[in-house]
Amino acid sequence: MTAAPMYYARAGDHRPSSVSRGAGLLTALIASLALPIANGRAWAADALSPASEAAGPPGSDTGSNQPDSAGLSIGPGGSILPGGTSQPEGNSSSTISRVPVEDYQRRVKDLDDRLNELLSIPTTPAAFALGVSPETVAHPGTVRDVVAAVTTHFGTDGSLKPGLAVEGAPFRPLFARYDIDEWMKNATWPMQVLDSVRISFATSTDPAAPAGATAATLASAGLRVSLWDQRDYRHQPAFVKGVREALRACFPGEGSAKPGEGGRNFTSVPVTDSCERNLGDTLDKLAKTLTRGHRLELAGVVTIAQGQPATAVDWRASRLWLAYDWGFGAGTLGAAADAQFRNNTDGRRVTDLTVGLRALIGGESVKWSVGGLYGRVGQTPDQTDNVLRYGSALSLKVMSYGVVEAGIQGNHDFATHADGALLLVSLSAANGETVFSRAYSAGAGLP
Amino acid sequence: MPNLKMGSTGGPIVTSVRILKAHVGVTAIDLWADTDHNGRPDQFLKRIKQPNQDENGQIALGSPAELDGQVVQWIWMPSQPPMATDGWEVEIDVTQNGQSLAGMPMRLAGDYPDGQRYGTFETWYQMVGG
Repeated sequence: MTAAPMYYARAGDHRPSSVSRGAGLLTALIASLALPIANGRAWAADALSPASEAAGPPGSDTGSNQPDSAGLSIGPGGSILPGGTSQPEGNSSSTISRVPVEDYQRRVKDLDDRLNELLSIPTTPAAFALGVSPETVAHPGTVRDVVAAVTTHFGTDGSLKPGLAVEGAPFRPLFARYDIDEWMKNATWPMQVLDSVRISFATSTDPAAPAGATAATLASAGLRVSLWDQRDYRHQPAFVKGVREALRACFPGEGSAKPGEGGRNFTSVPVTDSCERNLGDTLDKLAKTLTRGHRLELAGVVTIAQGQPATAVDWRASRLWLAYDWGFGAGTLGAAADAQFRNNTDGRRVTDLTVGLRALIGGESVKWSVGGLYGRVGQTPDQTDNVLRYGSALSLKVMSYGVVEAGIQGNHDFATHADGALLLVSLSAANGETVFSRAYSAGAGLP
Repeated sequence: MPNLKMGSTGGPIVTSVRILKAHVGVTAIDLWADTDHNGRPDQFLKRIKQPNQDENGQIALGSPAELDGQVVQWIWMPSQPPMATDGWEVEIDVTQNGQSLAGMPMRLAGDYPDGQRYGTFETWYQMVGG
Protein backbone atom coordinates (compact mmCIF):
# COMPACT_ATOMS: atom_id res chain seq x y z
CA MET A 1 0.00 0.00 0.00
CA THR A 2 1.59 3.24 -1.07
CA ALA A 3 1.08 6.73 0.25
CA ALA A 4 -2.44 7.98 -0.21
CA PRO A 5 -2.49 10.54 -2.97
CA MET A 6 -5.00 13.29 -3.36
CA TYR A 7 -6.65 13.35 -6.73
CA TYR A 8 -7.10 16.61 -8.45
CA ALA A 9 -8.42 17.89 -11.73
CA ARG A 10 -7.34 20.71 -13.89
CA ALA A 11 -9.24 23.91 -13.85
CA GLY A 12 -12.22 23.80 -16.12
CA ASP A 13 -13.13 20.16 -15.76
CA HIS A 14 -16.51 21.03 -14.42
CA ARG A 15 -19.97 21.35 -15.81
CA PRO A 16 -20.90 25.01 -15.71
CA SER A 17 -23.02 25.79 -12.72
CA SER A 18 -25.72 28.34 -13.14
CA VAL A 19 -24.97 29.49 -9.65
CA SER A 20 -21.41 30.22 -10.59
CA ARG A 21 -22.07 31.82 -13.91
CA GLY A 22 -24.03 34.70 -15.22
CA ALA A 23 -24.30 36.45 -11.94
CA GLY A 24 -22.16 39.34 -13.13
CA LEU A 25 -21.87 42.08 -10.60
CA LEU A 26 -23.51 40.03 -7.92
CA THR A 27 -20.96 37.27 -8.30
CA ALA A 28 -18.23 39.82 -8.15
CA LEU A 29 -19.81 41.26 -5.07
CA ILE A 30 -20.02 38.01 -3.21
CA ALA A 31 -16.56 37.21 -4.41
CA SER A 32 -15.40 40.42 -2.88
CA LEU A 33 -17.27 39.81 0.33
CA ALA A 34 -17.24 36.11 1.00
CA LEU A 35 -14.58 35.53 3.58
CA PRO A 36 -11.70 33.33 2.66
CA ILE A 37 -10.84 31.13 5.53
CA ALA A 38 -8.12 33.14 7.01
CA ASN A 39 -6.45 30.44 8.88
CA GLY A 40 -5.21 28.34 6.02
CA ARG A 41 -5.84 24.94 7.55
CA ALA A 42 -5.24 21.86 5.52
CA TRP A 43 -8.83 21.94 4.36
CA ALA A 44 -8.23 25.23 2.67
CA ALA A 45 -4.75 24.53 1.41
CA ASP A 46 -5.43 20.99 0.40
CA ALA A 47 -8.89 19.90 -0.48
CA LEU A 48 -10.17 23.09 -2.05
CA SER A 49 -7.17 25.02 -3.22
CA PRO A 50 -7.14 25.88 -6.93
CA ALA A 51 -3.38 26.12 -6.64
CA SER A 52 -3.31 22.50 -5.55
CA GLU A 53 -5.44 21.53 -8.52
CA ALA A 54 -3.17 23.27 -10.92
CA ALA A 55 -0.40 21.12 -9.56
CA GLY A 56 -2.86 18.35 -10.16
CA PRO A 57 -1.16 15.06 -11.00
CA PRO A 58 -2.52 12.18 -9.02
CA GLY A 59 -0.40 11.13 -6.15
CA SER A 60 1.13 14.54 -5.74
CA ASP A 61 0.69 15.16 -2.06
CA THR A 62 0.33 18.90 -1.75
CA GLY A 63 1.05 18.52 1.92
CA SER A 64 -1.22 19.75 4.60
CA ASN A 65 1.62 21.69 6.24
CA GLN A 66 2.38 23.71 3.14
CA PRO A 67 1.52 27.39 3.12
CA ASP A 68 -1.53 28.29 1.10
CA SER A 69 -1.66 31.08 -1.41
CA ALA A 70 -2.03 33.62 1.33
CA GLY A 71 1.14 32.49 3.01
CA LEU A 72 -0.63 30.81 5.87
CA SER A 73 0.15 27.39 7.20
CA ILE A 74 -1.00 24.97 9.79
CA GLY A 75 1.10 23.75 12.65
CA PRO A 76 1.38 20.26 14.03
CA GLY A 77 -1.17 20.94 16.72
CA GLY A 78 -3.61 22.44 14.31
CA SER A 79 -2.90 25.99 15.42
CA ILE A 80 -3.21 28.79 12.97
CA LEU A 81 0.04 30.20 11.78
CA PRO A 82 -0.43 33.41 9.81
CA GLY A 83 2.73 33.98 7.85
CA GLY A 84 4.35 31.07 9.58
CA THR A 85 4.23 32.58 13.06
CA SER A 86 2.73 30.63 15.87
CA GLN A 87 -0.51 31.48 17.57
CA PRO A 88 -1.88 29.69 20.57
CA GLU A 89 -4.67 27.23 19.98
CA GLY A 90 -8.03 28.60 20.92
CA ASN A 91 -6.99 32.18 20.49
CA SER A 92 -10.07 34.29 20.33
CA SER A 93 -8.57 37.75 20.18
CA SER A 94 -11.23 40.25 19.27
CA THR A 95 -9.17 43.25 18.20
CA ILE A 96 -10.63 45.23 15.33
CA SER A 97 -8.28 46.58 12.73
CA ARG A 98 -8.50 48.07 9.30
CA VAL A 99 -7.25 45.90 6.46
CA PRO A 100 -6.47 46.78 2.86
CA VAL A 101 -9.46 46.31 0.62
CA GLU A 102 -7.25 44.80 -2.10
CA ASP A 103 -5.93 42.15 0.20
CA TYR A 104 -9.44 41.39 1.27
CA GLN A 105 -10.67 41.12 -2.33
CA ARG A 106 -7.86 38.79 -3.31
CA ARG A 107 -8.69 36.46 -0.49
CA VAL A 108 -12.37 36.55 -1.19
CA LYS A 109 -11.91 35.59 -4.81
CA ASP A 110 -10.22 32.46 -3.59
CA LEU A 111 -13.31 31.44 -1.68
CA ASP A 112 -15.54 32.22 -4.61
CA ASP A 113 -13.42 29.99 -6.81
CA ARG A 114 -13.73 27.19 -4.30
CA LEU A 115 -17.48 27.58 -4.14
CA ASN A 116 -17.67 27.57 -7.93
CA GLU A 117 -15.69 24.38 -7.99
CA LEU A 118 -17.79 22.67 -5.37
CA LEU A 119 -21.09 23.68 -6.92
CA SER A 120 -20.25 22.14 -10.28
CA ILE A 121 -19.73 18.44 -10.73
CA PRO A 122 -16.80 17.33 -12.91
CA THR A 123 -17.98 16.56 -16.41
CA THR A 124 -15.79 13.48 -16.60
CA PRO A 125 -15.21 12.13 -13.08
CA ALA A 126 -12.66 9.47 -14.08
CA ALA A 127 -10.48 12.02 -15.88
CA PHE A 128 -10.93 14.46 -13.00
CA ALA A 129 -9.74 11.89 -10.49
CA LEU A 130 -6.48 11.35 -12.32
CA GLY A 131 -5.86 14.95 -13.31
CA VAL A 132 -6.39 14.21 -16.98
CA SER A 133 -7.42 17.21 -19.06
CA PRO A 134 -11.09 16.96 -20.10
CA GLU A 135 -10.11 18.07 -23.61
CA THR A 136 -8.31 14.77 -24.14
CA VAL A 137 -11.32 12.62 -23.24
CA ALA A 138 -12.68 10.66 -26.20
CA HIS A 139 -16.42 10.33 -26.72
CA PRO A 140 -16.95 7.24 -28.88
CA GLY A 141 -20.22 7.15 -30.74
CA THR A 142 -21.03 3.50 -30.14
CA VAL A 143 -20.70 0.92 -27.39
CA ARG A 144 -18.42 -1.05 -29.68
CA ASP A 145 -16.07 1.93 -29.94
CA VAL A 146 -16.02 2.29 -26.16
CA VAL A 147 -15.14 -1.38 -25.73
CA ALA A 148 -12.44 -1.07 -28.38
CA ALA A 149 -10.92 1.97 -26.68
CA VAL A 150 -10.84 0.21 -23.31
CA THR A 151 -9.54 -3.14 -24.52
CA THR A 152 -6.61 -1.58 -26.39
CA HIS A 153 -5.37 -0.37 -23.01
CA PHE A 154 -5.16 -3.89 -21.61
CA GLY A 155 -1.99 -5.94 -21.98
CA THR A 156 -2.09 -9.67 -22.71
CA ASP A 157 -1.44 -10.40 -19.03
CA GLY A 158 -4.34 -8.18 -17.96
CA SER A 159 -2.10 -5.24 -17.10
CA LEU A 160 -3.48 -1.75 -17.62
CA LYS A 161 -1.72 0.74 -19.88
CA PRO A 162 -1.76 4.47 -19.13
CA GLY A 163 -3.28 6.96 -21.56
CA LEU A 164 -6.92 5.90 -21.59
CA ALA A 165 -9.53 8.66 -21.22
CA VAL A 166 -12.96 7.82 -22.51
CA GLU A 167 -16.55 8.66 -21.69
CA GLY A 168 -19.73 7.04 -22.95
CA ALA A 169 -23.49 7.21 -22.58
CA PRO A 170 -24.46 3.53 -22.41
CA PHE A 171 -28.21 4.02 -22.48
CA ARG A 172 -28.44 6.69 -25.14
CA PRO A 173 -28.78 4.20 -28.01
CA LEU A 174 -32.01 2.99 -26.40
CA PHE A 175 -33.49 6.45 -26.83
CA ALA A 176 -31.92 7.44 -30.14
CA ARG A 177 -35.18 6.77 -31.98
CA TYR A 178 -36.92 9.68 -30.25
CA ASP A 179 -37.27 12.99 -31.99
CA ILE A 180 -37.51 16.08 -29.84
CA ASP A 181 -41.30 16.28 -30.02
CA GLU A 182 -41.75 12.65 -29.00
CA TRP A 183 -39.27 13.04 -26.17
CA MET A 184 -40.95 16.14 -24.80
CA LYS A 185 -44.29 14.36 -24.87
CA ASN A 186 -43.44 10.82 -23.80
CA ALA A 187 -40.18 10.67 -21.85
CA THR A 188 -40.70 9.33 -18.32
CA TRP A 189 -38.47 10.10 -15.34
CA PRO A 190 -36.60 6.76 -15.48
CA MET A 191 -35.96 7.34 -19.18
CA GLN A 192 -34.56 10.77 -18.46
CA VAL A 193 -32.29 9.44 -15.72
CA LEU A 194 -30.99 6.56 -17.83
CA ASP A 195 -30.44 8.86 -20.78
CA SER A 196 -28.28 11.11 -18.61
CA VAL A 197 -25.97 8.34 -17.38
CA ARG A 198 -22.35 8.87 -18.36
CA ILE A 199 -19.61 6.41 -17.55
CA SER A 200 -15.96 7.26 -17.86
CA PHE A 201 -12.67 5.46 -17.61
CA ALA A 202 -9.15 6.81 -17.37
CA THR A 203 -5.69 5.43 -16.72
CA SER A 204 -2.37 7.08 -15.94
CA THR A 205 0.99 6.31 -14.46
CA ASP A 206 1.22 6.73 -10.69
CA PRO A 207 3.47 9.76 -10.18
CA ALA A 208 3.82 8.94 -6.48
CA ALA A 209 5.95 5.87 -7.20
CA PRO A 210 9.38 6.06 -5.52
CA ALA A 211 12.30 6.82 -7.82
CA GLY A 212 13.69 3.69 -9.39
CA ALA A 213 10.63 1.62 -8.60
CA THR A 214 8.26 0.33 -11.26
CA ALA A 215 5.39 2.81 -11.33
CA ALA A 216 1.94 1.43 -10.78
CA THR A 217 -0.82 2.27 -13.21
CA LEU A 218 -3.74 4.22 -11.77
CA ALA A 219 -7.17 3.47 -13.17
CA SER A 220 -10.39 5.34 -12.46
CA ALA A 221 -13.96 4.46 -13.27
CA GLY A 222 -16.53 7.23 -12.96
CA LEU A 223 -20.27 7.66 -13.19
CA ARG A 224 -22.31 10.82 -13.60
CA VAL A 225 -26.07 10.97 -13.63
CA SER A 226 -28.67 13.68 -13.61
CA LEU A 227 -31.46 12.78 -11.20
CA TRP A 228 -33.54 15.83 -11.95
CA ASP A 229 -32.90 18.42 -14.61
CA GLN A 230 -35.50 20.98 -15.52
CA ARG A 231 -32.81 22.91 -17.37
CA ASP A 232 -32.46 20.18 -19.94
CA TYR A 233 -33.37 21.82 -23.25
CA ARG A 234 -35.88 19.04 -23.78
CA HIS A 235 -37.97 20.55 -20.98
CA GLN A 236 -37.84 24.02 -22.50
CA PRO A 237 -40.30 24.51 -25.38
CA ALA A 238 -39.23 28.14 -25.71
CA PHE A 239 -35.66 27.05 -26.32
CA VAL A 240 -36.72 24.52 -28.96
CA LYS A 241 -38.84 27.14 -30.65
CA GLY A 242 -35.99 29.65 -30.58
CA VAL A 243 -33.51 27.19 -32.09
CA ARG A 244 -35.91 26.25 -34.85
CA GLU A 245 -36.55 29.87 -35.73
CA ALA A 246 -32.82 30.57 -35.81
CA LEU A 247 -32.21 27.57 -38.05
CA ARG A 248 -35.07 28.46 -40.34
CA ALA A 249 -33.55 31.89 -40.94
CA CYS A 250 -30.49 30.16 -42.40
CA PHE A 251 -32.30 27.35 -44.16
CA PRO A 252 -31.70 26.97 -47.91
CA GLY A 253 -34.36 28.71 -49.99
CA GLU A 254 -36.75 26.87 -52.27
CA GLY A 255 -34.84 24.96 -54.93
CA SER A 256 -31.46 26.25 -53.75
CA ALA A 257 -30.23 22.99 -52.21
CA LYS A 258 -28.62 21.44 -55.27
CA PRO A 259 -29.31 17.70 -55.39
CA GLY A 260 -26.25 15.55 -54.81
CA GLU A 261 -25.89 11.82 -55.31
CA GLY A 262 -29.20 10.97 -53.65
CA GLY A 263 -30.28 7.82 -51.89
CA ARG A 264 -28.19 6.88 -48.88
CA ASN A 265 -25.39 9.16 -50.09
CA PHE A 266 -26.55 12.37 -48.49
CA THR A 267 -24.83 15.64 -49.33
CA SER A 268 -23.84 18.57 -47.15
CA VAL A 269 -25.45 21.86 -48.16
CA PRO A 270 -23.46 25.05 -47.51
CA VAL A 271 -25.10 27.94 -45.70
CA THR A 272 -24.52 31.56 -46.61
CA ASP A 273 -21.49 33.34 -45.18
CA SER A 274 -23.57 35.68 -43.06
CA CYS A 275 -25.41 32.74 -41.53
CA GLU A 276 -22.19 30.91 -40.85
CA ARG A 277 -20.99 33.92 -38.87
CA ASN A 278 -24.16 34.55 -36.90
CA LEU A 279 -25.96 31.26 -36.42
CA GLY A 280 -23.37 29.77 -34.11
CA ASP A 281 -23.51 32.86 -31.90
CA THR A 282 -27.29 32.75 -31.88
CA LEU A 283 -27.32 29.11 -30.80
CA ASP A 284 -24.78 29.84 -28.06
CA LYS A 285 -26.93 32.69 -26.79
CA LEU A 286 -30.00 30.46 -26.74
CA ALA A 287 -28.09 27.81 -24.78
CA LYS A 288 -27.32 30.43 -22.15
CA THR A 289 -31.03 30.96 -21.58
CA LEU A 290 -31.32 27.50 -20.06
CA THR A 291 -30.94 28.84 -16.55
CA ARG A 292 -34.30 28.27 -14.90
CA GLY A 293 -35.50 25.24 -13.01
CA HIS A 294 -34.14 22.65 -10.63
CA ARG A 295 -31.20 20.39 -11.26
CA LEU A 296 -29.83 17.58 -9.11
CA GLU A 297 -26.78 15.66 -10.17
CA LEU A 298 -24.77 12.82 -8.69
CA ALA A 299 -21.30 11.64 -9.61
CA GLY A 300 -18.84 9.15 -8.23
CA VAL A 301 -15.43 7.75 -9.03
CA VAL A 302 -13.29 4.88 -7.79
CA THR A 303 -9.54 4.81 -8.31
CA ILE A 304 -7.33 1.76 -8.06
CA ALA A 305 -3.64 1.14 -8.59
CA GLN A 306 -2.30 -1.86 -10.43
CA GLY A 307 1.27 -2.91 -9.76
CA GLN A 308 3.35 -5.91 -10.77
CA PRO A 309 2.15 -8.57 -11.29
CA ALA A 310 -1.13 -7.45 -12.84
CA THR A 311 -3.08 -9.15 -10.07
CA ALA A 312 -1.59 -6.76 -7.49
CA VAL A 313 -4.41 -4.25 -7.27
CA ASP A 314 -4.86 -1.65 -4.54
CA TRP A 315 -7.85 0.55 -3.86
CA ARG A 316 -6.66 4.15 -3.70
CA ALA A 317 -9.59 6.49 -3.33
CA SER A 318 -13.29 6.99 -3.87
CA ARG A 319 -15.16 10.21 -4.26
CA LEU A 320 -18.81 11.22 -4.41
CA TRP A 321 -20.39 14.49 -5.48
CA LEU A 322 -23.97 15.64 -5.09
CA ALA A 323 -24.95 19.02 -6.47
CA TYR A 324 -28.25 20.85 -6.60
CA ASP A 325 -29.06 24.17 -8.10
CA TRP A 326 -32.17 26.12 -8.78
CA GLY A 327 -32.54 29.03 -11.11
CA PHE A 328 -35.58 31.22 -10.69
CA GLY A 329 -36.71 34.65 -11.73
CA ALA A 330 -35.16 36.51 -8.84
CA GLY A 331 -31.89 34.63 -8.55
CA THR A 332 -30.19 31.32 -8.02
CA LEU A 333 -29.63 28.85 -5.23
CA GLY A 334 -26.96 26.18 -5.21
CA ALA A 335 -25.86 23.53 -2.76
CA ALA A 336 -23.34 20.74 -3.08
CA ALA A 337 -21.49 18.08 -1.14
CA ASP A 338 -18.23 16.36 -1.94
CA ALA A 339 -17.07 13.31 0.03
CA GLN A 340 -13.72 11.69 -0.49
CA PHE A 341 -12.37 8.49 0.98
CA ARG A 342 -8.67 7.79 0.62
CA ASN A 343 -5.86 5.87 2.17
CA ASN A 344 -3.53 7.52 4.63
CA THR A 345 0.20 6.84 4.54
CA ASP A 346 -0.30 4.12 7.14
CA GLY A 347 -2.93 2.47 4.97
CA ARG A 348 -5.84 3.55 7.13
CA ARG A 349 -8.82 5.26 5.55
CA VAL A 350 -9.27 9.03 5.77
CA THR A 351 -12.51 10.78 4.99
CA ASP A 352 -12.91 14.33 3.70
CA LEU A 353 -16.25 16.08 3.44
CA THR A 354 -17.04 19.46 1.98
CA VAL A 355 -20.47 21.06 1.87
CA GLY A 356 -21.27 24.39 0.32
CA LEU A 357 -24.24 26.63 -0.34
CA ARG A 358 -24.75 29.88 -2.15
CA ALA A 359 -27.78 32.01 -2.87
CA LEU A 360 -27.96 35.08 -5.05
CA ILE A 361 -31.19 37.03 -4.92
CA GLY A 362 -32.17 40.42 -6.18
CA GLY A 363 -32.81 42.69 -9.08
CA GLU A 364 -31.57 45.92 -10.51
CA SER A 365 -31.83 47.90 -7.28
CA VAL A 366 -31.31 45.48 -4.42
CA LYS A 367 -29.06 42.44 -4.42
CA TRP A 368 -28.39 40.06 -1.61
CA SER A 369 -26.04 37.15 -1.50
CA VAL A 370 -25.11 34.56 1.04
CA GLY A 371 -22.61 31.74 0.82
CA GLY A 372 -21.12 29.17 3.11
CA LEU A 373 -18.57 26.42 2.97
CA TYR A 374 -18.05 23.71 5.53
CA GLY A 375 -15.05 21.44 5.39
CA ARG A 376 -14.34 18.37 7.45
CA VAL A 377 -10.99 17.11 6.35
CA GLY A 378 -9.17 14.14 7.76
CA GLN A 379 -5.52 15.03 8.26
CA THR A 380 -5.02 11.50 9.54
CA PRO A 381 -7.52 8.85 10.61
CA ASP A 382 -7.22 10.28 14.13
CA GLN A 383 -7.22 13.99 13.37
CA THR A 384 -9.93 15.85 11.56
CA ASP A 385 -10.23 19.53 10.84
CA ASN A 386 -13.64 21.17 10.89
CA VAL A 387 -13.90 24.64 9.44
CA LEU A 388 -16.84 26.81 8.44
CA ARG A 389 -16.59 29.85 6.20
CA TYR A 390 -19.48 32.08 5.35
CA GLY A 391 -20.27 35.41 3.83
CA SER A 392 -23.20 37.65 3.14
CA ALA A 393 -23.52 40.89 1.25
CA LEU A 394 -26.16 43.46 0.47
CA SER A 395 -26.03 45.97 -2.34
CA LEU A 396 -28.42 48.85 -2.79
CA LYS A 397 -28.43 50.88 -5.98
CA VAL A 398 -29.96 54.33 -5.91
CA MET A 399 -30.56 55.68 -9.37
CA SER A 400 -28.55 58.79 -10.22
CA TYR A 401 -26.69 58.60 -6.92
CA GLY A 402 -24.69 55.40 -6.76
CA VAL A 403 -24.37 52.06 -5.03
CA VAL A 404 -24.04 51.29 -1.35
CA GLU A 405 -22.57 47.95 -0.48
CA ALA A 406 -22.08 46.24 2.84
CA GLY A 407 -20.86 42.80 3.59
CA ILE A 408 -19.79 40.64 6.43
CA GLN A 409 -18.03 37.32 6.37
CA GLY A 410 -16.81 35.03 9.02
CA ASN A 411 -15.13 31.80 9.77
CA HIS A 412 -15.20 29.36 12.59
CA ASP A 413 -12.67 26.68 13.35
CA PHE A 414 -14.38 23.95 15.29
CA ALA A 415 -11.11 22.53 16.56
CA THR A 416 -9.67 25.71 18.06
CA HIS A 417 -12.97 27.55 18.52
CA ALA A 418 -11.38 30.50 16.79
CA ASP A 419 -13.70 32.96 15.11
CA GLY A 420 -12.85 35.68 12.66
CA ALA A 421 -14.80 38.17 10.63
CA LEU A 422 -14.31 40.79 7.98
CA LEU A 423 -16.57 43.73 7.34
CA LEU A 424 -16.70 45.78 4.18
CA VAL A 425 -18.52 49.02 3.60
CA SER A 426 -18.30 50.85 0.32
CA LEU A 427 -19.98 53.64 -1.57
CA SER A 428 -19.71 54.11 -5.31
CA ALA A 429 -20.88 57.00 -7.45
CA ALA A 430 -23.30 56.54 -10.31
CA ASN A 431 -20.38 56.49 -12.75
CA GLY A 432 -18.85 53.55 -10.88
CA GLU A 433 -16.12 55.52 -9.20
CA THR A 434 -15.43 54.45 -5.62
CA VAL A 435 -16.20 57.23 -3.18
CA PHE A 436 -15.56 55.39 0.03
CA SER A 437 -14.36 51.89 0.81
CA ARG A 438 -13.24 50.40 4.08
CA ALA A 439 -12.54 46.88 5.26
CA TYR A 440 -12.06 45.80 8.84
CA SER A 441 -11.15 42.55 10.49
CA ALA A 442 -12.02 41.22 13.87
CA GLY A 443 -11.31 38.07 15.76
CA ALA A 444 -8.66 35.44 15.39
CA GLY A 445 -6.98 34.01 12.41
CA LEU A 446 -7.24 37.02 10.17
CA PRO A 447 -4.18 38.69 8.66
CA MET B 1 -30.10 6.28 -59.83
CA PRO B 2 -31.93 6.08 -56.49
CA ASN B 3 -35.63 5.47 -56.90
CA LEU B 4 -38.62 4.31 -54.90
CA LYS B 5 -41.25 2.05 -56.37
CA MET B 6 -44.86 2.97 -55.63
CA GLY B 7 -47.94 0.87 -56.16
CA SER B 8 -49.65 2.54 -59.13
CA THR B 9 -53.08 1.53 -57.94
CA GLY B 10 -52.43 2.14 -54.24
CA GLY B 11 -53.31 5.10 -52.08
CA PRO B 12 -51.55 8.46 -51.76
CA ILE B 13 -47.91 8.70 -50.81
CA VAL B 14 -46.98 10.09 -47.41
CA THR B 15 -43.51 10.89 -46.11
CA SER B 16 -41.79 11.96 -42.92
CA VAL B 17 -38.32 13.19 -42.05
CA ARG B 18 -37.51 13.02 -38.35
CA ILE B 19 -34.42 14.31 -36.62
CA LEU B 20 -33.59 11.62 -34.07
CA LYS B 21 -31.68 11.59 -30.77
CA ALA B 22 -33.91 14.49 -29.74
CA HIS B 23 -31.67 16.96 -31.50
CA VAL B 24 -33.49 20.13 -32.45
CA GLY B 25 -33.70 20.98 -36.13
CA VAL B 26 -35.82 21.96 -39.08
CA THR B 27 -36.52 20.14 -42.33
CA ALA B 28 -38.01 20.78 -45.75
CA ILE B 29 -39.23 18.64 -48.63
CA ASP B 30 -38.82 19.83 -52.21
CA LEU B 31 -40.23 18.36 -55.38
CA TRP B 32 -38.12 18.28 -58.55
CA ALA B 33 -38.71 17.16 -62.14
CA ASP B 34 -36.43 15.01 -64.24
CA THR B 35 -37.01 16.72 -67.58
CA ASP B 36 -34.21 14.96 -69.45
CA HIS B 37 -35.21 11.57 -68.06
CA ASN B 38 -31.70 10.70 -66.94
CA GLY B 39 -32.82 9.71 -63.46
CA ARG B 40 -31.54 12.92 -61.85
CA PRO B 41 -33.51 16.00 -60.79
CA ASP B 42 -32.90 19.05 -62.95
CA GLN B 43 -35.87 21.37 -62.48
CA PHE B 44 -37.26 22.62 -59.19
CA LEU B 45 -41.06 22.40 -59.01
CA LYS B 46 -42.22 23.35 -55.53
CA ARG B 47 -41.54 23.13 -51.82
CA ILE B 48 -43.98 20.69 -50.26
CA LYS B 49 -42.92 21.22 -46.64
CA GLN B 50 -41.55 24.47 -45.27
CA PRO B 51 -38.88 24.48 -42.53
CA ASN B 52 -40.28 24.85 -39.00
CA GLN B 53 -43.72 23.64 -40.05
CA ASP B 54 -45.07 20.21 -39.08
CA GLU B 55 -41.64 19.11 -37.90
CA ASN B 56 -41.39 15.35 -37.32
CA GLY B 57 -44.88 14.93 -38.72
CA GLN B 58 -46.45 13.14 -41.67
CA ILE B 59 -46.47 15.06 -44.96
CA ALA B 60 -48.70 14.13 -47.92
CA LEU B 61 -46.78 14.02 -51.21
CA GLY B 62 -49.58 13.21 -53.63
CA SER B 63 -51.01 10.34 -55.60
CA PRO B 64 -48.79 7.79 -57.40
CA ALA B 65 -49.96 9.16 -60.74
CA GLU B 66 -48.95 12.71 -59.81
CA LEU B 67 -45.56 11.64 -58.47
CA ASP B 68 -44.56 9.17 -61.17
CA GLY B 69 -41.15 10.21 -62.52
CA GLN B 70 -40.75 13.12 -60.15
CA VAL B 71 -38.00 13.49 -57.57
CA VAL B 72 -38.56 14.08 -53.87
CA GLN B 73 -35.74 15.85 -52.05
CA TRP B 74 -35.45 15.86 -48.25
CA ILE B 75 -33.41 18.60 -46.61
CA TRP B 76 -32.62 18.60 -42.90
CA MET B 77 -30.80 21.04 -40.68
CA PRO B 78 -30.15 19.58 -37.21
CA SER B 79 -28.36 21.32 -34.36
CA GLN B 80 -26.27 19.76 -31.65
CA PRO B 81 -27.84 20.26 -28.20
CA PRO B 82 -26.05 22.19 -25.47
CA MET B 83 -23.46 20.04 -23.66
CA ALA B 84 -23.81 17.24 -26.24
CA THR B 85 -20.92 15.89 -28.27
CA ASP B 86 -22.61 13.34 -30.50
CA GLY B 87 -23.50 13.54 -34.19
CA TRP B 88 -26.90 13.78 -35.82
CA GLU B 89 -29.24 11.06 -37.08
CA VAL B 90 -32.36 11.31 -39.22
CA GLU B 91 -35.04 8.87 -40.26
CA ILE B 92 -36.77 9.26 -43.62
CA ASP B 93 -39.85 7.21 -44.38
CA VAL B 94 -42.16 7.03 -47.38
CA THR B 95 -45.40 5.12 -46.96
CA GLN B 96 -48.36 4.08 -49.04
CA ASN B 97 -51.49 2.72 -47.43
CA GLY B 98 -49.64 2.84 -44.11
CA GLN B 99 -46.84 0.58 -45.33
CA SER B 100 -43.29 1.73 -45.88
CA LEU B 101 -42.08 1.45 -49.46
CA ALA B 102 -39.23 -0.94 -50.19
CA GLY B 103 -35.97 0.37 -48.72
CA MET B 104 -37.83 2.54 -46.22
CA PRO B 105 -37.61 3.73 -43.50
CA MET B 106 -34.05 4.84 -43.98
CA ARG B 107 -31.76 6.11 -41.24
CA LEU B 108 -28.85 8.36 -42.04
CA ALA B 109 -26.26 9.59 -39.55
CA GLY B 110 -23.29 11.91 -39.62
CA ASP B 111 -21.18 14.35 -37.69
CA TYR B 112 -21.64 18.06 -37.47
CA PRO B 113 -19.15 20.05 -39.53
CA ASP B 114 -15.94 20.85 -37.67
CA GLY B 115 -16.36 23.72 -35.27
CA GLN B 116 -20.11 24.00 -35.84
CA ARG B 117 -23.10 22.89 -33.82
CA TYR B 118 -25.38 22.69 -36.83
CA GLY B 119 -25.31 21.46 -40.40
CA THR B 120 -27.50 21.21 -43.51
CA PHE B 121 -27.82 18.03 -45.55
CA GLU B 122 -29.97 16.67 -48.37
CA THR B 123 -30.80 13.55 -50.29
CA TRP B 124 -33.40 12.55 -52.89
CA TYR B 125 -35.22 9.65 -54.54
CA GLN B 126 -37.06 9.44 -57.84
CA MET B 127 -40.59 8.10 -57.50
CA VAL B 128 -41.51 5.45 -60.06
CA GLY B 129 -44.74 3.56 -60.61
CA GLY B 130 -44.65 -0.16 -59.91
